[in-house]
Amino acid sequence: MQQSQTRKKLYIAGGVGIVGILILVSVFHKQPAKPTITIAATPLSATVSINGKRGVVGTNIVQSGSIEIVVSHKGFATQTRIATVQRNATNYAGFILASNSQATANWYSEHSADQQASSSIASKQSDISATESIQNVPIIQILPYLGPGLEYRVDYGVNPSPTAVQTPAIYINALTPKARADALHWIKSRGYDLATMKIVFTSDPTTL
Amino acid sequence: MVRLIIILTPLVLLSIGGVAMWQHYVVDKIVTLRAAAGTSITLGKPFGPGNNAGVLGDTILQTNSQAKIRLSPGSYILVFSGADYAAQTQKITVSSNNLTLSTPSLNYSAQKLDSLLADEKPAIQTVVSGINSLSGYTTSYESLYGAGDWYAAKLAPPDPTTQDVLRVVLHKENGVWQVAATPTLILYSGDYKSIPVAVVRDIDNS
Repeated sequence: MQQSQTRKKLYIAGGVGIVGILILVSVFHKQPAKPTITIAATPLSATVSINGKRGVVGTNIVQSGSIEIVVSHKGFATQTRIATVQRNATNYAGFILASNSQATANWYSEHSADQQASSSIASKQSDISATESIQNVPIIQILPYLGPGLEYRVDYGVNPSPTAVQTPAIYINALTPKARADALHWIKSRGYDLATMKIVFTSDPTTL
Repeated sequence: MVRLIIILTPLVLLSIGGVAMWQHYVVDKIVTLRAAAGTSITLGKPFGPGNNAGVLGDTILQTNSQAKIRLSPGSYILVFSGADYAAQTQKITVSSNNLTLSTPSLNYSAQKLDSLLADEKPAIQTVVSGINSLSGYTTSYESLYGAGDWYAAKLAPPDPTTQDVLRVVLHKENGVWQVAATPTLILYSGDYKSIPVAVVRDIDNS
């Protein structure tokens, strides 16, 4: 009889223990972090909307994928941008609104906080652009390159393709067909795929 | 005790049978394979750890017509192939629905494309020689691609000291060869989105 009661207590204790463990697991189970995007904008009092809903200058919780960000402020031209938000990534979008009225023409010089914030946004945007350029066209990390005997110069610059303005183009400055062929051969020899880069040929003897 | 075993044994067997039936008819899904004429479909498990390699491992089924099979949820590899075609691999995931898979549009094999090129050459040559800027140029490399409807060539100039090597791409539409990329030193796939990247890559890097 006593043995039966002891067993019963053990069962109850075991059951309570299992329930306790389940509760602890559910409480401390780490939920996957929701994706966020940090929006920086000047003037600092600008209004932000994300997919038509009110957002903030600062960190916003959003859905992963494409989102439409609209930043506006009275006296400034509204900016709209489609951004891609990735889970577990640092998502950032910076906006510097430009004045479109006489009343705000000297806004940044008269508002030092906005001016400082604008410099910070511009600097960060520049860093992001540089990183994206390297990702899109990795060869730019080893440019400029001068061919043997200054036969050709391989460098990078603005992409003239209207559909790829954010991807740098490769500029080959060479004076002869052989030099152009040698420059292409050099790019191939470094393991880069010619089909993926916009190549612009120039013939300028002064920049060789 | 014996009576208990006699009662429990059929129950256990029924339970095992029930689970097996549930697995077969509820969890497993019907996958229908439809191979186009002259092609076959091979279905198998992915090769290698992680099941992400996209390489066929053990073959489960092969058909050159139509076949149905019940598969448990998971990843599988399909290989579409044929005597005249380049094999194409596709990874599929069986989950909550039945699937029907047919042979996609396959690219011809290199051998088939070579034999087609011999037949198509006169028509292609007529188009290429009609391009004004190519007077005196000779073909140094050429190939057909895909279903034999893309052609690209590398053209050597008559005077390499003053003229560049050029690349040209033609596409066959409604049975007629047309210039898809006019002669140029190098092609950028971003500028020629209608041309398959494989064609641009091959002719640029040839």
